[in-house]
Amino acid sequence: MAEASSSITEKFFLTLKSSDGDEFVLEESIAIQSITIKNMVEDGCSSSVIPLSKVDTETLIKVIEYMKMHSSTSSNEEEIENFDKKFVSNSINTILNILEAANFLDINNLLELCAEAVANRIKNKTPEAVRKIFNITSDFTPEEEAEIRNETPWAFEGNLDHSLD
Amino acid sequence: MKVEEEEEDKEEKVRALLSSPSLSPPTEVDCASSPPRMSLNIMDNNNNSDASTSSDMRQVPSRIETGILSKVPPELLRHILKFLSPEDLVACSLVCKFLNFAASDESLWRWLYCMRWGLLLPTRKPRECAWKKLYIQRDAEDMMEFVRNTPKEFKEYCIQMQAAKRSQAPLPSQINDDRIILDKTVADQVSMWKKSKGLGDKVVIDHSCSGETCNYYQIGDVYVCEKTGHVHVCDDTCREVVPDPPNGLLVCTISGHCFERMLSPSEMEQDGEQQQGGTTDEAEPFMGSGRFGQW
Repeated sequence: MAEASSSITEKFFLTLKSSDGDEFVLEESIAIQSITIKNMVEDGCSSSVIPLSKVDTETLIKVIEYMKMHSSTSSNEEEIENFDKKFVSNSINTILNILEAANFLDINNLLELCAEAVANRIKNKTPEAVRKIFNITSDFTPEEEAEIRNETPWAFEGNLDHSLD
Repeated sequence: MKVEEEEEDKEEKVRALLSSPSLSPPTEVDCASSPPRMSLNIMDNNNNSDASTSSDMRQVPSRIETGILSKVPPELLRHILKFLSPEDLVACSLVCKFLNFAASDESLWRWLYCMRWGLLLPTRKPRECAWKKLYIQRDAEDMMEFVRNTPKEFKEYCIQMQAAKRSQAPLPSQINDDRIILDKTVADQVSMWKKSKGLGDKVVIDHSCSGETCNYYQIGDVYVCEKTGHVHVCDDTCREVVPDPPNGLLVCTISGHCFERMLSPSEMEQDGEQQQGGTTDEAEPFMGSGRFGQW
């Protein structure tokens, strides 16, 4: 199915449209890393523009960059590794947008990459630091918080990182 | 596709995973067979209760309400949290109510438990309480024993070593391979099959399993990827579910099994009351061994 279409020498192109109305033309063989798009292609819904109502332009550009780099033909392993490293250094807001898009588009590798990037910002942090990084307001009463601390006293013995990096 | 919601079906599926008899928790709790109910007795006997009995704690929102994580679909949170260590998860628990709920997820703690204490012995006995609690209990027991058996002058050092185990997060290379949570018998079957196929124990990175692209060798609810030998355990703590908006269920991307969507604790409470005719339900966010833990 997918393999068959990409092995044909003639290249097919798809047009993806962001929620902001911008259109991007992309080789089909690259775009079908997204299972959502692949299914649309297989169902024959891809002849016209594919509207991606949940993905804004800025995010779609990033996703396309990622798919181009990860499409098997064009890049070697080291390039991909460096690309991924740089990719996850995007702002946390951007990463979260991409994470959502990757979920919607069903691009598993990208979803994992972003999820790990978010997790890395949580690692070794105090609850207070996590709140600051993600701008979360605690909805616990002091009693509730004390109760949770009581359940796992050991979690608060170590030297957790208070920094916000 | 099969919807896993029948009580009997679930009963059958409850797999006994607790290996150490020393861990036998208080007998009052039998969460495996009645997930939404939490015996009040145990709350009184034991300060380390899984969930608060206070009425305030019941009102857990259905997602993180403030800040930039509020836009992340709740189901995606687990994909983030699976990279974290026990210590990190407990820190998350103190951030806000919903994150407390999400960071207590059964599949996360089951994995961490098995990562630390190894393969489980097969047993038909149902697991009595949540994996998070099991982890914390066994950690405490280990610590006590360790300290007891250590000469005085090394005690402090040993405590540090022991405590460091709690900050051990799963390696990214292990994360998509469930073989760590298999029980011994199945693990042996899997490795025999892998050998017969010439698949080594080497972990293949950069491969995302999906029912769309991979074929699987199946042993019960265990799926082994024919390309890489990656193991997926598709039981009540299936980690590969994604939301399927048309029907509001969660679908496993590997097996295609459907699970009920994650319920927020407040929804659980309602649901539980309907089911059980309003018996004393405590919202119990950590119960993963039944339908309510399937998210």
